[in-house]
Amino acid sequence: MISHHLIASLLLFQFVYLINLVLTNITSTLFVFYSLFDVSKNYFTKRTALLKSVAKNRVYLPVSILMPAYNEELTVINSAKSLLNIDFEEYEVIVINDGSKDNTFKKLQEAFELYPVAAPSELLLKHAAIRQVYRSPHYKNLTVIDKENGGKADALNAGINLSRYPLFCSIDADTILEQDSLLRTSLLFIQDERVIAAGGHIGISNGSSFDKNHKIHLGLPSRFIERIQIIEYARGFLAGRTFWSAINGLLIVSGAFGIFRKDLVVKIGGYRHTIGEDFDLVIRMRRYCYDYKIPHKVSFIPEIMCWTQAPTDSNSLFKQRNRWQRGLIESLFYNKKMILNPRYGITGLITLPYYLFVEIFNPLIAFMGAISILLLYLAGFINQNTILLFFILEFVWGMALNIFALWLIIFIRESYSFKMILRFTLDCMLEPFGYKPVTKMEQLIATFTFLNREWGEIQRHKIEEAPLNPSVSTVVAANKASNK
Amino acid sequence: MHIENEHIINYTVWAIFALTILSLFGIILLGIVKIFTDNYFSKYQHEMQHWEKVLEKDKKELLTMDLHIDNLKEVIGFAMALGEQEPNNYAEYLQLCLIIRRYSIDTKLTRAYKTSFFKFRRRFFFSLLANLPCSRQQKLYKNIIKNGCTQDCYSLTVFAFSKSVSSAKEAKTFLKIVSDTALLYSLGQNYLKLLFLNILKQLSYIEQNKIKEWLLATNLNLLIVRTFMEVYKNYETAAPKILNNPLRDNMEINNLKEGTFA
Repeated sequence: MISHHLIASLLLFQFVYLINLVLTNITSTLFVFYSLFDVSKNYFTKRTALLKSVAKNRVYLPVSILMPAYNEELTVINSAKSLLNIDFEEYEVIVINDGSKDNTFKKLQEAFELYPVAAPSELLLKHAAIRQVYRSPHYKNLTVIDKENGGKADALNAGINLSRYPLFCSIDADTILEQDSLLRTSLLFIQDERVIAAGGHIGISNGSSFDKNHKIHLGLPSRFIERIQIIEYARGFLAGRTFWSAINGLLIVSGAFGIFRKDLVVKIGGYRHTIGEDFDLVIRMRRYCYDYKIPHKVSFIPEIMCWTQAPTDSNSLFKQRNRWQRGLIESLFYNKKMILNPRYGITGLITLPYYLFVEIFNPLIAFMGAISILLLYLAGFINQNTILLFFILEFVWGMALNIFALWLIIFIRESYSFKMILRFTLDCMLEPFGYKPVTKMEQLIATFTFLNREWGEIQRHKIEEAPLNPSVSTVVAANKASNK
Repeated sequence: MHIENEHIINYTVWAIFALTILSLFGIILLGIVKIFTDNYFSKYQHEMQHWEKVLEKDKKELLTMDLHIDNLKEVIGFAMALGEQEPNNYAEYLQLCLIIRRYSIDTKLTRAYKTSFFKFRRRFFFSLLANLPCSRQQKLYKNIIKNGCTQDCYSLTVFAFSKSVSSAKEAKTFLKIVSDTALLYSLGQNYLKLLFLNILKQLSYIEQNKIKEWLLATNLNLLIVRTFMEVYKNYETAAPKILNNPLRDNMEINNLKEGTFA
């Protein structure tokens, strides 16, 4: 009797799995196609005159760039220097050393010859104690905060307190900004006053190098794990965020690069100490706007605005994915009142349920679905045709989606050779068989352990300047010893 | 769960197979499209460079020369070159406007915009039109705003419109339209400042004053009035030399007499 119930439940579960598979694949296909349409539209219209006029007539909104750094001695100087050389007239760079245990602060001190200045006495947001605030005699717009460790959210709150401008941009310590990214993103706030936060696509710099002007020389990463993340970023982030932005349902502005309205962030109490603080911040900003009936919009530019390093080994990758998944669950948990609540419009009725059912439950359903298929097949309850159907839906459609995502990359990046594209195509075909199941499994583990708040550390590699001949692109993995 | 119906499997296999083939084929197709579009733009890039050199050397001569800029490639290249020009004073600005008028660049671009079948081509032509230092296509801009468009399209249209304003009368019309529509499209205050700066640059000192007086007497949107006054005040102090440039007023009067501009 029990086994009958078990088998009936497993069979019923197959339908759930089937529906889940079809729905997730359909939404992903929709995202990729919409994004392709949007990206190609963008390709034909570059508004240089408008950007020039905004910059020339000084009607842009000045931006404070906040860069929290925790044990980032390998990348912090290069990133800070790249920030101090961007094409934007009025901005400040605030580097926050969040109680690093390595030589991050020492390196900053040496590179910029920092001298101490008085810290502000009035604080808008709470954060861990500031040891000292520093400035550089060489760069008037550079401020360095040395503070006690309190996490990324805490460091960003400290940066907001010291920032002077109406917009702030949060970036990671290993991020290299594109020259016009600030101008282009801040233009969105000028064009449309409903915009409360904006971001752009994050490019993966693995395999590439930067010249002295911090301009990228694209190269192909040698490892599959790095290459496939380029495809994954395009499929998951670029495609999804372009679509969500178009229907004003975007909830994620990446922590690697995002511009926010400071007044609104201060009103909601700044960043909260969560695992996915960037996701949590945007949800709370939207929640505040809905509660107080403020027209609002979160925008996304479907072009590469900055470059960051993706994990180069499976261990770092798993830690990162685990952290993302836990961050997602935690933010949804904190804002559970918004889910399926008509008061919160598209966010409550479409975006949050999507994240709940597709991003959180999907790995669980996929895992259980695969196990039950195997059990039922071995017990003779399903035939080969059914297995074939699931295989096609799960793997072949996945492969096709990856190749569609490759289309996106071809349009947003300009210098991939035919050989590189061929390599990517091969990776697209391999991804559903190894990389995808493993990362899904990690997401599943994270779902069960989301209460664990340990911050996963990613092994960083020092980015070196490209040689004088830009055709020779190299990536330097200077930290091999620490990797081991 | 036995799937006995072979059709389900067959249809799914064929559908996914088609999708995969499409994606693989799409890569090749897209590669070709990308090569074509890159060529398309590089072709215009060359044309643009050519016209940039001409504009650099013979800007004055262009007003008396009898050049034939007829085919679309030349028009686009010339428009791109004009879009790159940044006039330093009113005289230079006026010169560019006269060149545009003489060779009907704006009219030709508008025609191309209206007759283009593909939306992306229309966007491309419109962005070229918006990039011109000035144009006389207010009818088109008014139509786009009147028919309603996206926020993105609206902001670009009013930007192009603001650059086409060349008299107090046109400025009044522009301000009325912006007053009626800017809030509907949630146009940011800084963007409004940009538009008003565009207008002020193209008006004489007398006309600017006239607009200011008129604006204070009207019941237009308060935000518009306040923003305009702010820009006017800053503009006056920021650029007194250009404002009181006798060359500018003389040129304008001469041109008005000759009927070459306006």
